[in-house]
Amino acid sequence: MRRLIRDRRLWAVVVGMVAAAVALKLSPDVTPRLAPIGALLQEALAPLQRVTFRASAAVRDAGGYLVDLPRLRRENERLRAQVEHVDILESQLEELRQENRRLNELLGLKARLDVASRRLLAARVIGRNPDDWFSYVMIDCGKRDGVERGMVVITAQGLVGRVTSVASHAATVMLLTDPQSGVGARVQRESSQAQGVVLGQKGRGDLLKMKFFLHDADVRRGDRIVTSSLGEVFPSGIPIGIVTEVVDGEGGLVREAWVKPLVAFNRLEEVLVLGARGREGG
Amino acid sequence: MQLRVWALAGLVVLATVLQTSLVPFLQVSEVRPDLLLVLSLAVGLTFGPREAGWIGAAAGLCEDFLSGRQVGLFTASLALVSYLMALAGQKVYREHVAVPVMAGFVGTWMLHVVEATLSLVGGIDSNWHLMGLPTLLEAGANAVLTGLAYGPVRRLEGLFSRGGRYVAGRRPGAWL
Repeated sequence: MRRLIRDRRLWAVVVGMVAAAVALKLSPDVTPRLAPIGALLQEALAPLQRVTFRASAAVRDAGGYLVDLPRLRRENERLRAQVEHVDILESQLEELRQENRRLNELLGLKARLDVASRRLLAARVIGRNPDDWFSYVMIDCGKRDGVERGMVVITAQGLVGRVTSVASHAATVMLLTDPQSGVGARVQRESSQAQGVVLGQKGRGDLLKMKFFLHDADVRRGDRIVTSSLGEVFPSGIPIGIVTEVVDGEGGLVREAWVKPLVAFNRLEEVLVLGARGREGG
Repeated sequence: MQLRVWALAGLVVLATVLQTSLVPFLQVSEVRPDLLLVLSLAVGLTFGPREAGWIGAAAGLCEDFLSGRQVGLFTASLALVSYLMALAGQKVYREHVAVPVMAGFVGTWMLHVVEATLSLVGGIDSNWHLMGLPTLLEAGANAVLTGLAYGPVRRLEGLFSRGGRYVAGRRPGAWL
């Protein structure tokens, strides 16, 4: 203890500390006056500080990334699953949107055709003739829905065919393109109105042949063909197709024309069944 | 000017730069290591009280200028603590690894006490409120860093104590 008390250096420290405290107390305005020196020091150190600060920030960011990596991976997986789910929903939404558009077109058809007095029944295509896609289709409505044999089936584009057999919950529709199909038709042109029968053709895909009743029937390429009022089965004015070629029939006795149907038979999904006139179609 | 002074001045500049641009990234809450104190203590234990006082004063002055506080407060505090710790270091076997670690720990507490006392006497807002867990954690960090810095500073002192001058392009072992 005595040695400590005698230590002059320690006394110098104590005196120095007291002097510093007194100096701090007596000169509160010294700091503003020394500010230029501080600014100079700051100016000199700034380039070094900038480099170190950037490097430190980069290291911190990299470290933060490494620390966050497991969390980011989990989040990435979760978001990826979410994106897949949204993709599926979007696909379903697009499907429903297209279906809605088709159904709206089908409903709009009723106003355009001479079928105002008939009920319309929307049905879905659930099957096809495996031997020939352009022959028959099965729909998901049957007797319980009011479907009867002979009823006409259409889409927004035009005539599809007619019901040939009916089960309780399903029915078979013979397409226009079936070789056994025959529909009374006419040219939908004011200056012509030539009449005939549209027949399905085996082995010609979805092409139809129209045989005219008169040898000099006025028909041209591009004419629109619609159902005529001759038959009892089909209402008049339902679009069938467009004439692609006019030819002379066998022996030159009748005129014939190849007709491209307006309905895309290979992409049928929803159809409308026309109920009987004055009765409920379902 | 002697090479040793330049080297020590360079260390002060380096510590100041790191304290202002690296340590903020290591700060947790209000706890952060004090590299200027670490340097002053390591230099004090290695070179002696006189150098410790000067290095402490220079480092403290840098911190005072850069922090915008009352100029002189940290200068006096750091110079005093460095000097006293170096003085105490002369009484112990400095080769032991625990010496710089203990110096870092005790020096941190001492610095806070001296700074708070001077602030109180000088009518400046004191940092008494930081005494406690933050200071304890800071003392721990400073203790570890002083232990790490002590070795390199001693090696530096070894270069100067050979009394030679540096010849460019030759290894440290080739000091003349």
